[in-house]
Amino acid sequence: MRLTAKADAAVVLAAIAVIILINAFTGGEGGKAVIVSADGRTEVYYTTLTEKTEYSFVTESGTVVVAVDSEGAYFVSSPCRDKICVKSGRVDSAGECAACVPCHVYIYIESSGEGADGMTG
Amino acid sequence: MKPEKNNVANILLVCAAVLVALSLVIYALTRQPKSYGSTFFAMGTYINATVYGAEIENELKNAVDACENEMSHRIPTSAVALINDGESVKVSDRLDGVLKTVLKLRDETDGAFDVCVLDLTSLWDFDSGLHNVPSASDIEKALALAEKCGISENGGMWSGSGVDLGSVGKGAACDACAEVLRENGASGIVAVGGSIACVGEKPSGKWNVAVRDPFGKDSVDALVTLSLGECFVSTSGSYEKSFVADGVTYHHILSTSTGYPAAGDIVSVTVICSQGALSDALSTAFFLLGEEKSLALAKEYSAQALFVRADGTVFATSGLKGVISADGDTEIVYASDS
Repeated sequence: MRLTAKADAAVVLAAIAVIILINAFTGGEGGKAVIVSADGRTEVYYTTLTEKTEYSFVTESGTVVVAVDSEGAYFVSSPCRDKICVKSGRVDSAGECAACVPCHVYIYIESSGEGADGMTG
Repeated sequence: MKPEKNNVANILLVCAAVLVALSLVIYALTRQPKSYGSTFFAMGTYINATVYGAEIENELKNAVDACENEMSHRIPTSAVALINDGESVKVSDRLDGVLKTVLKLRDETDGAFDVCVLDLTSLWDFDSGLHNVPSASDIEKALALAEKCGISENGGMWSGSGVDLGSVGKGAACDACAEVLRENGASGIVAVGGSIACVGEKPSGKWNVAVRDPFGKDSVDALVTLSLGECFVSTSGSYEKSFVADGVTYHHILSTSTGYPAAGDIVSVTVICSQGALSDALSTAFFLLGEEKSLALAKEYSAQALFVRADGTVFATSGLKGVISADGDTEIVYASDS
């Protein structure tokens, strides 16, 4: 192997090592994972979105709208009677959740090892 | 090519290769076991599970469904519904254990905690959303039936008021889910509504369980966070299932002596112990008993408890020292060890 080829190989190997180490300590993901379960279907969104995005979920009880933005997620609207889900506010920390029980829609911030793994109450 | 330069290049190449090997070792050591998240609806609430080391969503669903199908008085074919109809029923070991737990607790609390209250809970029917306040005479009749409630020696034959296991059902489902995780050699956390099972060790440390802030603007606001090992956690709070009628707030935790929502300065009680059904039952019992009377029971069951008072302060058993983390605004008072 020529000298420059050996030096190039060393640089490439060092770069690979750096990437492996970054992945080891960051998990290789960006943003929080927002899990939305609607009538048994589960979708995953990431809060790396810079703008608020609204997602509509058609359920047997009607259409439920959930917004995901750079900080978390919240219920925008629901056909349920008491609107407890809309009043729940934003979930933005790992382990936090909110649900529209009548429409069977649930939003949850996945735990990344930090923050809460679940909430009682 | 000069031999010295070639040697330097060789050394650099070897160093880079060693660096990659070391990085792979570090990656392997820091890498957590694969986690599987699942969310599904059962028992009138959401079940949210994060399981490390096994993909067992269907098994968890089956376990919760089995609990509901046996313990819900609303399902006509359930064991509890059949018991309430006066039939002699062979119950599972799980339901047998739950019944023994609640009957023992009924005796120990002099009836303050009771599951023979179906007539009373049906009168209020908080789940219906109708928000009716029952008449005093109807409440009196329901309480009289609850007093007559009993179980025969061969089990299963109840008289008087029917059985409503709403105060232990979600905790019992946590027990069932924990069993599924253990059978599959997995660890994880399963939340059945507000009841939680922390099973095995969390790969990155302790299980962090947030306790809902009863005074929070949103239902997702946390008052404190508990750092826990393997255990079960349940909370009973007056903010759940409540309604306002004629300016009075009525919540769903009913006093078995008055038939009306329990009065007092406690807003929520969180219990941590070694069984799900027990943690659920104790959280209701402690809410009804108040702080002082609860401490002896907590000691008997090796349970820890956290009471949130109406003034926002927290009263906790001494075993929770070092377990609770809160922001500076929350005042926490610990019980003495005696």
